[in-house]
Amino acid sequence: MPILEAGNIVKVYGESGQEHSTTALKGLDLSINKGDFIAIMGPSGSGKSTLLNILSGMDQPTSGVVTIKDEKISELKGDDLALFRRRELGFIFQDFNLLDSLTVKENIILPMVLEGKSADEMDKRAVYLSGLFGIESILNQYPYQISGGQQQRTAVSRALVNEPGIILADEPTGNLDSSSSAAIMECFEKVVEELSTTVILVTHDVFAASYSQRVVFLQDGAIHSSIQKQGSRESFLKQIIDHQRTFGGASHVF
Amino acid sequence: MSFNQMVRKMIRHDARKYIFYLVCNSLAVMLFFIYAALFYNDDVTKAKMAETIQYALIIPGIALIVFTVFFISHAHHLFIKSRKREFGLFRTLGMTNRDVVKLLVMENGLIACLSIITGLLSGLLFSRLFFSLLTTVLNIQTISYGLNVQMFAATIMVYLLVFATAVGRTLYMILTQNLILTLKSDRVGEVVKLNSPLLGGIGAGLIIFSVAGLYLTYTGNQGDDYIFIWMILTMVGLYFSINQLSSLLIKMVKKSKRMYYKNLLSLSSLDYKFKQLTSTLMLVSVMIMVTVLYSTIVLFTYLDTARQIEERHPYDLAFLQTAEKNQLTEEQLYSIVDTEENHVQAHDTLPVFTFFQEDEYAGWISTFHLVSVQTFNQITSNSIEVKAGEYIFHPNQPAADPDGAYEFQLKFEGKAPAQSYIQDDTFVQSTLNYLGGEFILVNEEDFDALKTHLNGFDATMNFINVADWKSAFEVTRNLEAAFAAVNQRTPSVTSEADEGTSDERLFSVASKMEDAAINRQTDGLTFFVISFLSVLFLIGSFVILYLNLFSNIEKERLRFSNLHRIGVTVPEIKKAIAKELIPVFFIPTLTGITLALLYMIAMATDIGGILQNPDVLVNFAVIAGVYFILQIGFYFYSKWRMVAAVVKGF
Repeated sequence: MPILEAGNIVKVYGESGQEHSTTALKGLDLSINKGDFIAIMGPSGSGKSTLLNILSGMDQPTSGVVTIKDEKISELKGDDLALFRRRELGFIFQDFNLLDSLTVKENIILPMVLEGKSADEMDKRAVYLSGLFGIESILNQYPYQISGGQQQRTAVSRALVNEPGIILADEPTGNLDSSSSAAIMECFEKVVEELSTTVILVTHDVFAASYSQRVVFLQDGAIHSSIQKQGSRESFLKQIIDHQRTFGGASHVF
Repeated sequence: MSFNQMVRKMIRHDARKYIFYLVCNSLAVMLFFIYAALFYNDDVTKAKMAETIQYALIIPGIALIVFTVFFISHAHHLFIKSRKREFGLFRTLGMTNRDVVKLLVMENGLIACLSIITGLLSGLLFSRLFFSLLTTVLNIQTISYGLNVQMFAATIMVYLLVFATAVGRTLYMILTQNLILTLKSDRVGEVVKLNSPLLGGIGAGLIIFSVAGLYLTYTGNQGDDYIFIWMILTMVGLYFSINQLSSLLIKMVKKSKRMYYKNLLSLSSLDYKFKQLTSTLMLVSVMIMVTVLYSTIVLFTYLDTARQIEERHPYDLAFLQTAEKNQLTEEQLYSIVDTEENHVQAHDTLPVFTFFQEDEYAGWISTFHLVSVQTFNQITSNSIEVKAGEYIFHPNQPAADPDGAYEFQLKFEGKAPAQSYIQDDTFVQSTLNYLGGEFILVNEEDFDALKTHLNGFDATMNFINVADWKSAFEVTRNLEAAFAAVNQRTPSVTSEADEGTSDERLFSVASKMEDAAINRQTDGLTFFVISFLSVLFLIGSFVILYLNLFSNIEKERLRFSNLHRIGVTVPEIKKAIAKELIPVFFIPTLTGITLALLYMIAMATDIGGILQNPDVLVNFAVIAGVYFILQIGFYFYSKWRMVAAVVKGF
């Protein structure tokens, strides 16, 4: 039973059929099961970010339907959509997106605050998540006082605080060095293994993608191919690099 | 592309920031010029010599100078915060300190010049507009608009001094600061600064101390000498207490975790905002205080004067008539007083015997009206009794001490009566229009007997009421002209040598109209100055608050759009905006109104204390209420604008 299903998603920027319109997604289908860890890869302009924005309901598809937990989110509007996102989805951004005026702990519990949860519940959750991701010692510091990797782990904790079914991450390692990247990706592994939360990741970082179970390659607004993880992460990494080479080569046949 | 071209391109890109900076500076120049246009106005300068309106100018003057200092430094700080990162970048790219200084000085020099020009031009326009509006509305002819060099010189000097200090400080900081810090300045600036409830407590203490000090020293004429010290202390105290208020509030709220988490978003932003807006909030508080305080003074003076005019003139107009002076026939009189639009409603007469007597101690000649108590009672609806051989001294004026026993001794020069007369009582009150002298009330029989022993003449007091005195100014003037024509032809009844008495004084028309007109012209200037300042400060406070809120609008947009991305709904954002704006709008309002009340109580010692003048409190409540309603309207407007700006594009 898939937790997320996208059927025949088309996204056209500008007036459809007009000279200046751009088709970002061309009738894309995608099905993701509970507990999946999927990486979406592809060259710039292949429609990765557009897809993620549509899957998360931040953007509306021109046609097609996105269903998450039996809710057609492409039909939800305004505040219903915002509430759905808050309760069912967790977001992680390349630039962390933390509030400078709040401490790490306050940033983490912010979505719970909005839900009006009790103080005890929030404290417990903050302690649990910060323990899980190794940021318990910086809970009372402000974002500008901690490193990028710590900021992103704070963002991961915030994304998970309302126990969403799906985590959507847009280039989460894009602003991080390799060791911080590894730490973040290990966080995602934990999320999938220990909390059985679904993770959808958009990245161009093969190293980050190698932590996932399946990599979906996009090209020109459509799914080009996908590969499933078999065996260790190291061999999957090699597999992705090899695949990307042939795939990348294919786009440069002149 | 040369470096200059690059700079120009950057300026175009950041046009909004430059324009905002320019607007803030121009505004400061404009407000200061409008004040200077009042302060150095020739008519006001003349009056200042007489020190009648000195006090009215002190508090706003200080407030305005402090305002200029804070406002310009604040605008400069905001502007430079965003520029600092660029300077840091330039320096990493190999720009020398010399280049940085050159760039900064050129840029700010240009801004200063433009600000002076636009500020003075708009100041000229608005001061002119202000003057003509107020003189028309208040109907004041004693002040005329004029320009002089001092106004321009003072404005430019104060502005340049403040501005140069701010720029100098920035230069010093950029050149001495570590490069990395400069690069990060955009974010480091948000570090929550010193948190010390103790400092807040000291601030509150300073405010209390200054108000108490004002209360104790504001007695009699010397009060004005110290008022500026207390004013400055109040401002300093206010600065510290506002600066620490949010910390204190948050500390208190934090005690209840539930409360704190529930208001997490607005509280943390409040803390952050308050630190950033401290100077703005202090200024706005002070401006609101000045507005409310001065408007109350204006209203009280206006109403009190009107009340006094009514009180002193039970009849609309009155005059003394003798066989020769002010002598018009009934027909002649009515042809002037009784007009088609304004008929005479009542005409009462009171026969008196007017006589002169030298004051025992002072030596001057005073005028008195001997009157029979029976006829006096009839006209004033009193029931005073005077026994034979006694008399009551009735000054017919409000006295400093209403229960005081004022002594008066009847003196007979050469023709003393057989019987002696003694003073029975003093009747201190204003009962009839004052006609050049005080009343001596005697028994009807004594009235006729005494006349022969006193040096005076028979006269009749005429008291007239018309339908609407406010439209009878012309009538009064015509009557005076007619009397003057008659009186010219007859010899004087008073001794010309004595200044205390004169025909002119004795036979003038005592009318509400005349008093109201005199009042408007003599007190008009003070009235004008105070009204002028309260309107100026009212507008000023609105503009500052608005500018400050909207200078950060881009940042707010980003913050809320980030929140929106993680699932915060639009109604929740609206609620958060409201929660953040309410304290920013209403803390200064409440603070300003409270301070105005305290200052008013302290300054009311001048007129015998607040308890003796409960009207002041009523007037104050009206003004404060009106201000509060205005502020509520302004709050809703700003909230609406802010929500529109933030939510647009979600």
